Amino acid sequence: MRIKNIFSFVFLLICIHGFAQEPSLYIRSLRSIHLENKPLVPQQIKFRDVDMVYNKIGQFLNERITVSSSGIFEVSAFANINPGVMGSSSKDSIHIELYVMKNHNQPTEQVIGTTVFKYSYGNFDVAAGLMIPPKEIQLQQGDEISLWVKILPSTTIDINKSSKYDHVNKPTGMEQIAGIRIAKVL
Amino acid sequence: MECKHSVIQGNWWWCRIIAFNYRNSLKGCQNFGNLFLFCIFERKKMKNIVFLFFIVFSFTGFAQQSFQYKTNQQQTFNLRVGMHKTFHYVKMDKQDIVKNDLFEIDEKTQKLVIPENGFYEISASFNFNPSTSVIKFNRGGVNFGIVQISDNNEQYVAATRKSFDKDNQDMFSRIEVYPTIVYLQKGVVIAPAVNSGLIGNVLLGCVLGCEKKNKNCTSFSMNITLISEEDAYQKYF
Repeated sequence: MRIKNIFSFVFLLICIHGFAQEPSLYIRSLRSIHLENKPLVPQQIKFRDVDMVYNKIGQFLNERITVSSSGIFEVSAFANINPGVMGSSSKDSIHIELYVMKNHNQPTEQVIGTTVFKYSYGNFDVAAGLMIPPKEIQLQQGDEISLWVKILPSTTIDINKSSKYDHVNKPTGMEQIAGIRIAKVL
Repeated sequence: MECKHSVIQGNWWWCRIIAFNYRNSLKGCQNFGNLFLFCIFERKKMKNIVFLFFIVFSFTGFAQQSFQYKTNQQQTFNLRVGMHKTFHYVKMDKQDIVKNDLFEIDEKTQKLVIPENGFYEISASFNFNPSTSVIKFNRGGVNFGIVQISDNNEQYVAATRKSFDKDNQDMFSRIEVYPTIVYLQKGVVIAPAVNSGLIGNVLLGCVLGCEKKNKNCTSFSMNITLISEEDAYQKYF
């Protein structure tokens, strides 16, 4: 009976420790990421292993984030994007959409959250934070979450076309340039 | 193998409701964390009571420590061109602390000092007005966030870049820093701040505050929660 109680005690500690961990995931990039000047073409913001800060709910393999259990999750994301354009007219504008997707290119594909930012004259070479507010969504085990950027057709000028220029980049004084947070709610 | 542990067992008193039979295998249980509720009562009531108290106190001890702050006070800032390394810190008032079981705070406390190594979730909200007409068609990038301060290091750990233009240069905008998870080390000081990101003109008299019609709005709020005391071996920030 004593041995049994010892096992019980250890088991309880393990359970409590598990309870103390917040069931969430946070991944972010400190590296700049290039975007192609291709309006309407979805471009994925890809993360690497080194970008994973905290993960208690999913897997990150081959640049893919998947959740390990079904439930209701809160998903949010952001990216700091700089079109890098100089010398245009005051009538021009650049419209960029940032969105989070579930199961891209699969039958269960779904846009979870989206935001659009309109760059106007004077701010074409200034990074702006595109924020996707936390949104609750039902996810199934194995669902994949990814972050995408699209230049909208209402854009009147090209973004910086240089292949050496990174558009998802570090605004002055800030380190994080893009990130996704997934938190299990229920 | 089928999981049998989510089945409520026992008929004694309420503790028995969460009884757990060790002879059953754990295989097949997908949500292992939920088994916390399944304590170990089998035959001896006294031992059951001891375990029950242990569980209750464990819940108390492991509750997430957090700090919540919310104010409607107004502050002004002067943001200058090229001074992006200068952080303008938001003044805080102890009376506006909504909840705190994270930081050690007494009458003499001047800084929020991280109490232990761990993963922290940080969020904040700024109601900000550049109060100017000079942005027009010029650069208007301003940064808002929470800064960590330690020896030779002063940088945002959670922040949002807001790009102001002619349409919002003279009105209040809500700038959110959505929940951000970072690993912070014991002894680091945490403080909310504003700084000039990339601006074309000096912005004098920027206001962190509320509109005249809504003076009781939240001009600034922030939450910090210790979500895990787990060690980290990587520089997460």
